[in-house]
Parts: sequence; C-alpha cells; structure tokens
Amino acid sequence: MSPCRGDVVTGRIPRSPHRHRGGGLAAVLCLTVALPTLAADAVDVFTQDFERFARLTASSEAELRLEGVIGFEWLRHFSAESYLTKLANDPAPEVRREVAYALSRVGRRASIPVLFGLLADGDPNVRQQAALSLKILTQTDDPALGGQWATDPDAYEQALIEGLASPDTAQRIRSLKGLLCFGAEHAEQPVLVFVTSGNPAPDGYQLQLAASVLERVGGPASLPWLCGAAEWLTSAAWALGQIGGPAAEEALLKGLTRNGVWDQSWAANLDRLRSTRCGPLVPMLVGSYGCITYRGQPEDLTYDPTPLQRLCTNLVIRSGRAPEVVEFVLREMEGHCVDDEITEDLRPAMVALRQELMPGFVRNDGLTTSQPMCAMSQLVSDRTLAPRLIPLLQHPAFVARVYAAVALGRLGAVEAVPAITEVIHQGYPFADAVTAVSGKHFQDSQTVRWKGFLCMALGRIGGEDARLVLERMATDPDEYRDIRYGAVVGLGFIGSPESLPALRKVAADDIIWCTQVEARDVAHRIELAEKGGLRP
Amino acid sequence: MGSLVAAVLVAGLQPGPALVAREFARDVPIPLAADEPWSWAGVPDGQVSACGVSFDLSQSTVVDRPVLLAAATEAAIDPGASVVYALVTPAGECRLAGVAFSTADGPTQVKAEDCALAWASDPPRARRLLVARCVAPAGGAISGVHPTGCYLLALLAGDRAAADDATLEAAYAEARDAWHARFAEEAPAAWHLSKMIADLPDGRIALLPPRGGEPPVLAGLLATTSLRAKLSRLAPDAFVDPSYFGPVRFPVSLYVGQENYLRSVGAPGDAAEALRRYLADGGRVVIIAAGPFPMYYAIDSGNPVQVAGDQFLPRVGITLTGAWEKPPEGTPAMVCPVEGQSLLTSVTAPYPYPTAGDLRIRCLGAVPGSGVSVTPLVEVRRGDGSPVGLCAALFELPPNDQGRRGGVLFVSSILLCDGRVAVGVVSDVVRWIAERLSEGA
Repeated sequence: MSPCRGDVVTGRIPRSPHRHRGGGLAAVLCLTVALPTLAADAVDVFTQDFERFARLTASSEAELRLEGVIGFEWLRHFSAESYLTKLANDPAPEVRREVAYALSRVGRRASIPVLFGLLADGDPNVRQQAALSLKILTQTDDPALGGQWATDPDAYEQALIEGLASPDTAQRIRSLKGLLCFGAEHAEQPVLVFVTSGNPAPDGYQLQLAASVLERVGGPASLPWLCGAAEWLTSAAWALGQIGGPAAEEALLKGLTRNGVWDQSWAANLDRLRSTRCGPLVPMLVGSYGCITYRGQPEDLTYDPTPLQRLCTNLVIRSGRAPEVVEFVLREMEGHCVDDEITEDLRPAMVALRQELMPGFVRNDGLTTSQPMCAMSQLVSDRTLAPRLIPLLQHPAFVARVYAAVALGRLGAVEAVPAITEVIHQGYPFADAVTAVSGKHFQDSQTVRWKGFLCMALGRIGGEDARLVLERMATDPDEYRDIRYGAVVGLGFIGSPESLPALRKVAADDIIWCTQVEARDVAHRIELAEKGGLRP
Repeated sequence: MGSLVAAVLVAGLQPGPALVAREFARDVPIPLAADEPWSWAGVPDGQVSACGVSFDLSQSTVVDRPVLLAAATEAAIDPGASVVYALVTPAGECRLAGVAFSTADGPTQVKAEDCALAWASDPPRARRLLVARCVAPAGGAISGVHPTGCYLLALLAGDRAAADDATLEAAYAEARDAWHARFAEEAPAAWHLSKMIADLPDGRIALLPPRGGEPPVLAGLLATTSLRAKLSRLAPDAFVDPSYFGPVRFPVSLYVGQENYLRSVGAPGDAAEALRRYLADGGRVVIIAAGPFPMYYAIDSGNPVQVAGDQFLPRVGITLTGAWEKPPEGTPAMVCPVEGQSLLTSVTAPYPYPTAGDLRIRCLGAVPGSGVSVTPLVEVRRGDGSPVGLCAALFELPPNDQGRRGGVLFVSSILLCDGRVAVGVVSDVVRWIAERLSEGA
C-alpha cells in the first residue's frame, strides 16, 4: 500500500478529463459540496470526503457514480468496500471496471466473491481488471484457478501469517499485502511480533505495509508500536487515526511537529481525531495555505479549497486561534498593525506579509509571503467582519483585494456584490489589446490580471445578484478575457441551471479557447448535478 | 411632524392611512461597537423617524458585542402591501446601494440617491440610515423587498389609504429631495459623470472601427453607465458608406483603436478616405485610446498584419511633435495644464508624470502650413521645465466649402490611464461631446 493512502486528502482532485483520467467528473464535487463549516466541531476532512463519495455512488447518473468510485479509490479506506461492492452489477461497464480497480485498493474478504463474479462480466475490460485486482488482493499468480484463499480464507490468512516468519523478503511482502485483504483481528499480534522482533528485522517498506495491516486489524494493543513509528511512518499515522485515543493524538502531534504538512498524513489524522491541540503549530499551518502569488497559482481560487487548506482550517479553528489569526491579518491589511501587539509566534509571518501589501508589488522571485491572507480568507467566520472587509476591496495591493473578496465569499456577504462589481468595472491600467499583441512591458505590474479572481469570489458569495452580474460579464465580449473566464468559473460555483443559456453562449462564442472549454465544462457539471439529484 | 408619525403608527386607525411594522428574518449582525472603526456606533437604539414615518430599531448582543440584526437578502411582504417603507443602511459606498421592491409588474428599483435620510454619522464611519419608499401600482401589491449593497433593518407596510395619502407622499418627497442634494454633494466624480452620460442623446456618437483599445476608465463607464446605449458601433461596411457615416448623423465619433486605424474595407484606402471625408465635412473625432500613438498602424480588412509607416493623422494635418519611451532620469517630468484652457477643466494644476504603467508618450501637433489650428490643453514638461509636447489638444481643420470645421480632440493615454485624473478628464470630454451634440440638435 502506498504511504499516502488518503490521496484525496493529500492531493487535489483533478478537474479536466484532458488532464487526468476521470478528472472531469471530480469537478462535480466543486458544485455540490458545501464549504467546510467553521464551527469548532467541524466535521473532519476525511469524513467529509468519505460521505461525499458515498453520496455520489448512490447517484442516478453513471458519471457521478463513477466519480464516487474514483474518489473511494483515491481515499483508499477499507470502509468504502460495501459502497463499492454494491456497484458490482452497475449497468455502466465503466463503473464496474472502476469498481474492480478500486477494490484492489480497499478490498477485504467480502470483495473476493464480488471480483470472482466479475471475472464472468460481459465487458472484457471489467474481466481483465477483476483478474488483476484478485491477483493483488490474494497475492497469487492466477486467481482464476481458485485456491485456499477461495475455499478456506481463515486457513489462507494463517498461511499468510506464517509467511511473515520467512527470511525471504518477497514472501514477507506477499504476506503483508495478502493480510491487507485477509487479515482479521487475530492477525494483530503476529504482525506486532513481526515489526518488533522479526528476524531479520523488517525494512522500511515492510514496516509501512505492516502499519497498514494494523490499521485494518489493530486495536489498543498496537498503539505502543504505532505511536513510536508514527513519527516517521505515514501509514502508522493513518493507523493511529483509525484507532484513536489520547496516545494516538500525542504521537500524531509529534509527527506533525517533526514532518510538517507536506505529507498530510499527520495533519489529516489529527483532524480525524478532532484534535484541539495544534495551537503551537498555528504559524506553520498558516504558512501552509499557499497563495495565488506563489508562481501564479490561480488554482487556489479556481477550485475549491485544497485538502491541505481544509485540514489547516479545521486544525486552526479547533485550536481556538482562528479569530486571532484573522484579526492580525486584517490589521496588516488595514495598515495599522503594531508589532508588539502581535502574538510572538505569528509575528514573523505578519511582518513578512507587509512586503506584499505594498502598492503595485509583484513577486518575481518564486516566493510568497501572502499565505496569512489566504488563511484569513478561509478562517474568517464572523459575519460582522463584512463591513470591515468591503473597504479592503480598494486596497492598493491587488492581492489584498483578491483575498478580501474571497473572505467576503466565505462569509456569503451578498451585500458586498455591488462593491466587488465596482472594483471589477474599474478596469485595468492597460487595454486588453496591449499584451495581446506583443507582450510589451511584460516585466511591469500593469500586465497582472487579477479581476477574474473577484468574479470567482462573486460566485462564492452566490445569490441572484451575483449570478446576474456574472452572466453579464461572462457573455460580454467587451470584457477583459480574465474577467470573462473568472465569471464562468464563478457561475460554476453558483451552479444555477438558469445560467445554462449564458454558459452555452460563451461556449459557442468566446474567442478564447480556455474560456469556451470552461463554459462547456461548467454547463455540463450543472446539468449533471441536476440530473444526479445532487443540487442542494 | 411628530403628530403625523404618531398618527400613522396607529395600526387599524379608521378611517385613514395605516402603516404596520412587518417582521422578517434577520440573520446578519451589524457591528455597533465604538472601538470598531467600521461599525455603526452611535446608531439610535429605539425609534428612528424620517419622512413622516417611524421605525423601531432594537439593538442586540452577539457574543457580548452590541449589534443590530438585519437582513441582506430578500424579505417577503406577506400579505402584500400597497406601500412599503424600508429602512436600510449601505454596507459600503452609498451610491452602490439600493432597494428593489417586488411587484406583479416586476421589480421597482429605488437607488440610494432616491431615498430619504434617516440618520447619519460623521466621517470616518460616515454611516447612513436611509428610507426607501415604494407604492404598488393601483390594484397591485408589493410582495418583497430586496436590499442590494445594503442591510435591511426595518419595514413598514401600509394599505391603499396609506399609499394614496398625500401628506405621507409629500413628506417623503421633501425628505428625498433634501437627501438627494446632500447625496450629490458627497458623491464622487464617477457618479456625476454617469449622470452626464445618461443625459446624452442615444445613437449620435459613432464608435469607429477597430476597437479594443478602450482605456480602463472608458471600459468601466461602458460597464457601469448607459454609455454603451449612447454609442453606435460602426461596422466596417457602414463606416465606408458615405450615405450612412457622416457628421449629420454622427456629429461626434470616438476612436478607441489602441494604435490601429482601418485603412481599407472594400477598396484600397476607402476606410481612411471615409474618415478623412468625415472630418472634412465637419465631423469631430475624439481620440480616447489606451495606446500612446493613435492611428499609427494601418489595418486592411482581411489582412491580419498591422502596417507601419502609413499613419492616418498626417493626412489631415496632424503630426508627431515629441515622444519618449519613458521620462528621463533625474528631476521628475510634470504634466501641466495649459494656462487659460477651458476644456479639460479638471486638470487644474501641474502634477508629476506617472511612474508606473505604460510610460510611453507620443505628442501631437499641427503640420506647418496645413491650416489646422491647435488649442493646447495639457502639456508634458521635463524636469527642467522644457516642453516635451502636448498630451491633450483640440485640433480644428480648415473650414470646408460650407464653412464647417471638422476637429480632432486628442487626449493621451498618459491622462486616460492615470487613475489620478482619468475620471475628471473623461468627465470634461463627455461635457465637450454633449456641447457638440447640442450644437447639432
């Protein structure tokens, strides 16, 4: 098993089918999922994603069911098995094939007869994938021939356990992989013996696999070893998230402190445990949000918040320090923060932020210090802050305007729609044609386009006023191209079927290819969500 | 006034007008704390009276902080009412706020400027409480109130007797007029400009092809004002049709072609000739483009190549007199209004040349001996005071056989793309256009 079992939690779900297999479907999630609640008892990201995929697998639309299956496939949690096996007789062959593949990642004993049945599927792709998955789960060369694993799974499990004692590395690995599927509670003790006193001592890969087995079969008895291993084994972090308890939380905190969030296993499982103890790690979490000024990453706003951002948001909120972060960032944006008043551990980030709050600042060194603003835009929950944020839409620094608008979107502040629209209409200090022709003055901030992000923020705010404004902007050929594109993305966030005529017009008429493609994609997602019964 | 307020608040008063407070979902807390500069501190706690009616405002606390609870989305009026008074407060700039009342005939918009003032706080907060009044058409009813850019604080709904009550109507009109005057006084230049544009006649300003070089201030006006409806976008075929494109139909034309001009449509040079003919016949062209050198590149229909070396303006006696890619180092260059000019009146004093954005400038002047007269408006001077050239000027062509003089009003991108002066300069240009249109009316 891969160290990062929760790929959904550790990476962004791709959006366009042109970029990744099945990715276009994943974008449906952007339409249908509410942003995570900001309450201190916020549902953890793992559970949110799990429930989202479960809903998708129950959709009437094959495309959405497929989306759910792929989601589970990347989540790699064995609890998904029952949702997947239900779809083994799905009328759509592409769903059945994906089910066969997903079971190779999450399947347990109940998957075996299901996959065996799929060996007789009418679709050759399904049959082929079922055979491959059986091979992975059973760790046998030709599962179609059957074997002990089929006739007596308990005896096969025992054989796998005995294989752990083998000095042969390949045999050990086969046993551990087999136990992922066939291991039951009584496999816990032999696996613990293997990891603590195996001879020869197991290598890192074997330990990763062993921790994954313990995630499925382990209990409190596994905690001492897992807690020690969790500081350096990502799969141990997932096992601790599964087993839970104060000791698990303590070990995960150590792991997060040591490793940071770039592998999200520790943060994700602290989130699963609803940890409230990440207060000392808030500066690190705030610095992990990313930002559009980092090498121009517009995806931060074009898509829903990343899993990492959602994890950081949950952990900071539960630590009780979210209001403090929001307050200091707003003070910086307002230009009247006093160093001595900033909490000591947040001070370096706030001081560094100031550079990017200077008028006309454009980053050109591949770095960014604006992450606290991005964090603020996702941590903000106090509705009374809307009137405080609205004047920041006129901030001299573009990036501050963008995140003020995103924060207003997070608050659902419909009263800000005219103010955001006004900023968009103020235009750029250059004509659209200037950079279209020759790329003149590339080095100057005059070529930076940021108003499309405000359109996306309008989409986050939602409501009729925002929808009408965005439809007009999207279909107006006189608008700047980034505004047209951003308006289309924003309409996707709103997801109203009433926008379909405007989106189809953009898909047919816009002169910019990527705007056409986005409009087609958004229109498709809206139609799909309607048909699949997934609209709120 | 006090007796009137008391009278209308007595629900069920028979006979006579009856206004009753209506409840609605209030889910948005508005801050009132005195230590929050963005708050509504000082707002009355209790009754607020204006234009002959009175609203109840009661403050609350959320997590120990004083707030007013309001609605930011539509409030239903159920059952419907013949007249509704809505007490609102703008969330940001006053001019961006408004209230839409839902009736069977569609929404009726009441902009902030057409409300009545109920309460105001001093800067820097400068918060306002406004009253919007809407009367349903005879036989109809108002079914909802939708705040835009503002928070809805309280509602009063009345019957037909209240809707038809002349005293109430007069009280609102008086308060509205008083507020309108104050609003106009406080409003930014952009608001006044939008009013000026609204007064322009429809369809008498031609927008010349090609387009795409609209300066930001013009793009903003096209999006936010009625300017778009005032312009006739000329298709290339119409542009070269002398029976259509001429100064009688279009006394003024706008050039927003960045640095391009349309030279040929059907025959070589026919479009350039159409523009020359328009000017010779007395038409006025306003050059208001974001590029520094207007009409520099020639464009021929069907050919994507911009042709350099065949500028248009020299054909009518206007030429380049000065240029730079950026101002020289050292003492900052200055942009200076020409003493005595009365066209760009918003540029009242010299100011430093821009330091960011596209710093290129191309200054225009008359070709000696062409008979073109120049009214200098704004010039650029180097740090040592020596002139670079004109960045705004009015060029008037020699009179034609009928004694009519065509003209070119040139405003450089240095003015149009500079947020410090752009709105004012465009306001001046719109005023000049309005005068030209009224001459021909």
